[in-house]
Amino acid sequence: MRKEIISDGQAISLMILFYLGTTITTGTSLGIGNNGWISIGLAMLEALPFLFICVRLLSAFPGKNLFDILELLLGKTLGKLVTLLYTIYALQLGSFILRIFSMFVHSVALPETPDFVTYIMMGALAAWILRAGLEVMARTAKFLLIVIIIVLMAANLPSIGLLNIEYIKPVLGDGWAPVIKASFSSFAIPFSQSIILMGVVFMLEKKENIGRSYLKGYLAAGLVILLLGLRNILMLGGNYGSLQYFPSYTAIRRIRVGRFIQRVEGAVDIILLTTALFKTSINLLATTKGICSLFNHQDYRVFALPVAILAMVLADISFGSTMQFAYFTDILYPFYALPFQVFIPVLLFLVYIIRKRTGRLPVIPVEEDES
Amino acid sequence: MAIITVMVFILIGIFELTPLIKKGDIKGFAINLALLLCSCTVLTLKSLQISVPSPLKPIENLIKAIIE
Repeated sequence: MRKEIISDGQAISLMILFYLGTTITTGTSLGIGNNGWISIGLAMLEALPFLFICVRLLSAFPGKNLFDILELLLGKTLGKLVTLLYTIYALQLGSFILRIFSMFVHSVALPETPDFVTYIMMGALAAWILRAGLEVMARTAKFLLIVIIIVLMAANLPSIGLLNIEYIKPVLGDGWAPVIKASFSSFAIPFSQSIILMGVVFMLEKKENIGRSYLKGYLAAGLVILLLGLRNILMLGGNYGSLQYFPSYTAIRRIRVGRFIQRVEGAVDIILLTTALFKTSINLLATTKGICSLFNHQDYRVFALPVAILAMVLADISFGSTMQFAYFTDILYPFYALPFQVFIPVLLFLVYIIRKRTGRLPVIPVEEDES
Repeated sequence: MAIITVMVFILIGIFELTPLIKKGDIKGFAINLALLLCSCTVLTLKSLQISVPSPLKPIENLIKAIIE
């Protein structure tokens, strides 16, 4: 199958949409009131070394994705085993996003609609995007990112008059300890999820730009998440904002400029639909690429629909209620993500360094582009 | 409901798997069939009101055992 190559701008757009994902609506680093924005900034810094690990590995093995690198560095048996773990992990992440989207639709817009309807709508769309391929996905991402920026600005500019700077005080009133603890959750979702991107975004038009693209996407998305977190605190107050499942939605609902501009919360729906769709698609793309790597299959597109259906099923059976889901994602997920987002990437990097120093790095054959 | 579920999966199977057999992609056919069978089994059980355990429960228990 022909290698899919995307431009820097498209890669950056994909990355921004991936990081924003559902975080743009659910918020992150909740539960510590008015200091949430500091822990978001802290989490960005904490996850930066792991981004560099991803970039370093991708630069060392040009044209190879996460699963190829796993096999090259860890050997065939161990590499396949870790690939299987990452494939299941990516599938679960995809199903989490479907669940969050369904929760959002259920709680704010269509309370009587059964969950499976939203799963089918979102899952089918994700399968369609997957079947179209990475290049189409990237081109669409670049276009939709512009739409999201316009919608974000249009929805947020009227909120400036409603911001109350008093809500941010006292800064670090309880010291650094709770802020550092809360940053762990932002670190897990979404900042250290770059490893999933390694399975998807690895071939750029200019190979040397891969690090720059990853960093630009990461910083842009981080900045948006930070600013929206700050806006939520300044509009809702730290404690009230922490109690909301969807603080951005609650904040935007308050915007009223005279009788002319009101009920702009539809903007949040548009943004969540787009970012969640892309995050689901990227996770499912990583899943299908993992399956291809496991079974030495050439075309990931043939697995698009079965994988999307499996993600829908998982989204349905994984959690009994919204409370269970919130408990898992807030309390347990950061620990669950640790091996995938921290331990294995660090281990992989150490293996790379040791192999490089001892001169035992695998030789990668130069592939001819068939296009 | 269970019958509808199975019928839907048979239709998906026909539209998804037949082109793979025609192309001679036996590996792709087998993987797709396995994935579809997994989904179909779980959904059929659910439609028969049989509770399906969450695959995250063992993970949840493991994490709780470590952190608590």
